[in-house]
Amino acid sequence: MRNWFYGIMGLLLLTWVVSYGYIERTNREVMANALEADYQREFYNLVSHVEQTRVLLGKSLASGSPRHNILYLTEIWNRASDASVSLAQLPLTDINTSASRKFLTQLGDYAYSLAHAEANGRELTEQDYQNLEDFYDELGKFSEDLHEMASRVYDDNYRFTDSMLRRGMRTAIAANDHLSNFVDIERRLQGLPSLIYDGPFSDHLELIEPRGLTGSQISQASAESKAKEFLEKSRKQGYVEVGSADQVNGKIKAYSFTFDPQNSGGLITIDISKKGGHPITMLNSRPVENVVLSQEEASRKGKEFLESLGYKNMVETYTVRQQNSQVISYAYQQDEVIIYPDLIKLKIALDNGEIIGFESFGYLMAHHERELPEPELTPEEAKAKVNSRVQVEGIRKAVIPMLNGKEAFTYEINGKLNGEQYLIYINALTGDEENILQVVSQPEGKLAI
Amino acid sequence: MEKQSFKLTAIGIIVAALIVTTLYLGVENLANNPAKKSRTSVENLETAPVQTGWELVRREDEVNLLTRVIAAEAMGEPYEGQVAVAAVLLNRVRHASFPNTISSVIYQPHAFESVSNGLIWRVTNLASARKAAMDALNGWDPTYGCLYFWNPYKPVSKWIWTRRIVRQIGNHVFGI
Repeated sequence: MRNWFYGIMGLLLLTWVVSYGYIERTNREVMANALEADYQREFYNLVSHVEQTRVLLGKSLASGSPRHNILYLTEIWNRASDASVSLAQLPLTDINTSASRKFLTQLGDYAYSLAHAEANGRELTEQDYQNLEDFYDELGKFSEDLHEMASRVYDDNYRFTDSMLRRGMRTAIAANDHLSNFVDIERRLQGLPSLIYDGPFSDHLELIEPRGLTGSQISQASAESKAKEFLEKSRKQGYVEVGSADQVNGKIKAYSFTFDPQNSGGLITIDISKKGGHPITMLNSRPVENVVLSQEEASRKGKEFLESLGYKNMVETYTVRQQNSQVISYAYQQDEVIIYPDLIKLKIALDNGEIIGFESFGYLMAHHERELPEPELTPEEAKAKVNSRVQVEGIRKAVIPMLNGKEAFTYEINGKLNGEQYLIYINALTGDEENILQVVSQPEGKLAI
Repeated sequence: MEKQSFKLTAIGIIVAALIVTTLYLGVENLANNPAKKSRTSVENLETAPVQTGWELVRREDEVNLLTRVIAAEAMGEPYEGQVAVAAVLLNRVRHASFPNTISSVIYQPHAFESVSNGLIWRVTNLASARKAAMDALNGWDPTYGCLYFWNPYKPVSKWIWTRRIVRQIGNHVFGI
């Protein structure tokens, strides 16, 4: 009797284990197949995007009409970007593809910068053509490698998800591995010389040195007293120092200090530059519970604070409410011209007006006294450049940062169209339309896109 | 006779329990299919439009996207470290070697451990992470443009140590 009972129980348990395992396995397969389909799609998209980019580049090189060439170059920009996105979505655990993705981004960006130049009436130079030819060669090899992999993936029914399951026992990619060409591509593209041109991904932009970092090297002790001085100006209550100073080895070398404010939660950290002892960033993580101050009062306190630190001629540009704090951007003003690159941001607590955030990286990178030329256009001429359907409401002079790292001296024209507000930037020297921003009003502030 | 029916009842209960658990596990696993789990964030927190004029488009969706990654990746880190993690994500969006949207940076295969192990969908304590996300979107970057962060006390790929280290905050090292 007893044996019979246990026998049945054992059998039931076995049935349960088997059916449980079966269901789990089926589930896993359903999900793995869905994921595999995603990866296969991205892989073949990559093959096709790279191939199409290569063909478009060939056509661009063959095109004799600058106006049509703009179309090819813009399309290259789109295709190369699609290729880079597809490449980033592949699960290549052990293969680094960052140089390959940079190559695709830079190619697209370069093509776009040439399209922009042609739109402004500049003809392509011999150097431009040479660069495009070089891209074309590289793209040809890239495409060849992809096709080779694609045929191997097809022949052996390769599944990307299988390699993920093998993650536990990582091994170096063997020469005959299905995806080994990615390694070859990467090695080739890593060795490319850096490319300098007029676009946001040009290699020279990484080398730009801070212009606003005046002064000489200071010691850690004097940086510390600068940090304390900063705190005394920003706060109402005392503080206790904690921990030792850290070194920051970024674009701007700095000492970092941490303080413990009395009677409020959250630490304060301040970075002071080694050169010149400028405050770079400050963050106070204390909670702000209630709102007492208005936005105008916060703005006034912010300006007073900046003046007490010696930042003169700073004007408020944009402001947004962030929970119970007000974040305000101040830009430098020189001879009635707003210098947008020289930007300092403050975060002001609306309960007692304390400065709980400071950020001047942009200012330190860009700030210098500029030689502003006389505008070639009068304000009236600049307004005339604006689309006639836009209702102009205001105009002022502004220096704006361009994506290529340069600055442009412009008229900033504030206008309305279809009930939306726009900021239109007309170059004060050439009359070119440099940029258009749409201002989106939200309850907490305005957003310029 | 009584003993017999007791045994039968016991077996019946066990069988029923097993069938129910099996079915339940099966159903639950199907419901866990990531394709169906695209719930959006439902916390009713303040929206945060932010603005510097010249950078990325900021929307509440972007704050939401960042918040979960920060909460999962920088759990227990100092506040500055949380802002730093968010800043790394945003620096990637602007860099040529990485995808150009916040979502594709976050969900890039193998980019973040918390996405691989599902932690970003389980984190619940989001208040501080949300604040950090907004600060980073507003332009605070304690990393000075870093693209990577890792925990130096855990085994990580050798390659990551070839990066130039900018600073350490809490348990994370930040590098370019």
